[in-house]
Amino acid sequence: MLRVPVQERHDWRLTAKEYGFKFHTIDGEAYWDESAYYQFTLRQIESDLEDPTEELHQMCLDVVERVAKDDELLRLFQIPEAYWQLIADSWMQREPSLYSRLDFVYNGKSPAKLLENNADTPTSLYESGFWSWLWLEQQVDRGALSIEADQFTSLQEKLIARFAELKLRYPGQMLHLACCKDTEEDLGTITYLQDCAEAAGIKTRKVFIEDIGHGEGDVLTDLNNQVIIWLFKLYPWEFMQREDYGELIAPSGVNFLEPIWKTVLSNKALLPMLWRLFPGHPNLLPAYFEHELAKANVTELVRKPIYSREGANITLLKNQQVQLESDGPYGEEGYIYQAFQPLPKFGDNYTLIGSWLVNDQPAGISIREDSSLITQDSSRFLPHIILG
Amino acid sequence: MKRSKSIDLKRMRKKRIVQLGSLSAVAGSATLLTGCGNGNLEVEARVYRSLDICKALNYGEERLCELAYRQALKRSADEYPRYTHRAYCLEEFKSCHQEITAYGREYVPDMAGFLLAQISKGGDADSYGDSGVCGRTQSFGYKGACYSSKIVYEGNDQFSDNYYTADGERISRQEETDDGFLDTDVDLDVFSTRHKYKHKKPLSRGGFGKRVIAFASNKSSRSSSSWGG
Repeated sequence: MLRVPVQERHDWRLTAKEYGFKFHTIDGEAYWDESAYYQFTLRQIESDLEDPTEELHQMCLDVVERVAKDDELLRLFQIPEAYWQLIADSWMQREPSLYSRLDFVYNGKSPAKLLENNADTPTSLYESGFWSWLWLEQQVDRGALSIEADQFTSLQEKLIARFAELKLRYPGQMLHLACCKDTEEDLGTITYLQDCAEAAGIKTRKVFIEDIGHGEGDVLTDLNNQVIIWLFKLYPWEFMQREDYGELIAPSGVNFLEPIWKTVLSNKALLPMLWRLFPGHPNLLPAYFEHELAKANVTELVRKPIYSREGANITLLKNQQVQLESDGPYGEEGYIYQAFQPLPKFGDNYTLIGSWLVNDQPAGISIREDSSLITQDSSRFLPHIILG
Repeated sequence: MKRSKSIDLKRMRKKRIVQLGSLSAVAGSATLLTGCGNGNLEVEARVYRSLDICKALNYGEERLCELAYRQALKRSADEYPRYTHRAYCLEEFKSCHQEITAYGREYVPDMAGFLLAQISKGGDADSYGDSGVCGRTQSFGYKGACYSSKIVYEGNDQFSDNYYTADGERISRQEETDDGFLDTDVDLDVFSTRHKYKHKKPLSRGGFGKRVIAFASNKSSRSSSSWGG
């Protein structure tokens, strides 16, 4: 695993405009950074990242299997009781999922360690599935990279194939795609999924989360008062379950992507549950619920809110003293603790690997860099190649 | 190979610089998959901004334009998007006006043009009427061929999607270039069997998203940041 400086494409900003990639620079700071790329061997990709991703995903589903049927665990996961039966039913029926992303600490040598599972609302999808892919194609075409260079980026073809499967399950249905207002990144993500869904022959329409209506008969509607029957929502389940329309989730009969059982999978309480069920697994870090902290025999811990997004409200503790923390609005539902494993450092950059799944299949990786040990939504996105 | 073998760049492209030439009066053209008969049939479709423009560009075929325009209006009367507030309408469409409908006072998008597509050829021209004898209830016959037409509306800029049919199908997602030409060279399924969507009068809106509003003021990171992860 190497970090290799490379000449930027001179026209990449124009290309970004052409393809509608609008959030490559945010608040004047680079988000997309192609001044360098990461290079992996095929063995590193397949043995160290792809295979563990598939295995860890199945282990995570084992956790869902246990939690969905267990009131005590559902309570420990801070899931409101009103949704327990809905989650159990959703899981029993194996309501279909679309995608997720596991985040890893990986340095190219030691086993990748799971930091968290972004199973409900993962972003950086467009950059991973399309924009990085285009970068490689163009850099190879222009002779800047070897024709032998490959990339672990099969997201787009797998997403389209997955949507084609879902189309058979929901024939003729229009897919609504929703995100919050005033976030170019989220709008870009749902637009990308819209592209993929339409490539699979699904009719689509966008609606902002804030514009969703409650229609007569306890249905959810879009701004056109059209009843929503199939909804991809880039909006956390834990938010929806605590808002006014939460009571419409069941009676509305909407088929949600992601399904409501992902409330369990995307929950940070997943991490101590994994450690309980698979202690010592090479791809796991020791993790504990708050009431289990006495069991922790490590001096450096990371405290994470049970519900949080984009690296917010993370605290690094050493001998119970705060070393570093990020702010944010999360934490009222409590915390879990995970053994600290520093991200590898390449130059001045701490590097995080995201490993994608489409349904149950590994589908690519993404790389984020930051000058801080805590990766946040402002962290830069860099491309990668496979060579050797 | 560990990456997608190919990606349809045409579909991914959101803006293209196109020389206008003499086609400025035509809003766009699209290749459509109709699902007619055995297997799909690729047809050419065009969006005209007005009946007059259609006639001017189809000299000698003015009646085709008239039939298409009439058919499109007839269909839109049953299907047009409607909103309880102008702001809601303007969220999706570039311009809107008020109408009194069966639902009361409502806002509907302004018509931006109509799409005309030839969906089949052959048959006895004289036997075709304009009420579905082409075998599809929403097609019409003209000179031995079947056509279909729909009103289109111009979407707002926010979604970068330009034209929609009344039933919400997007017929173009290309941005209009400075010279006004719209490139809609994409495969579409505009005329495939349609699902009948239900409309329900809203009792309220805004029941989702309140947590974001509450959190937004606390979020210290960059503006316009994600609520994903």
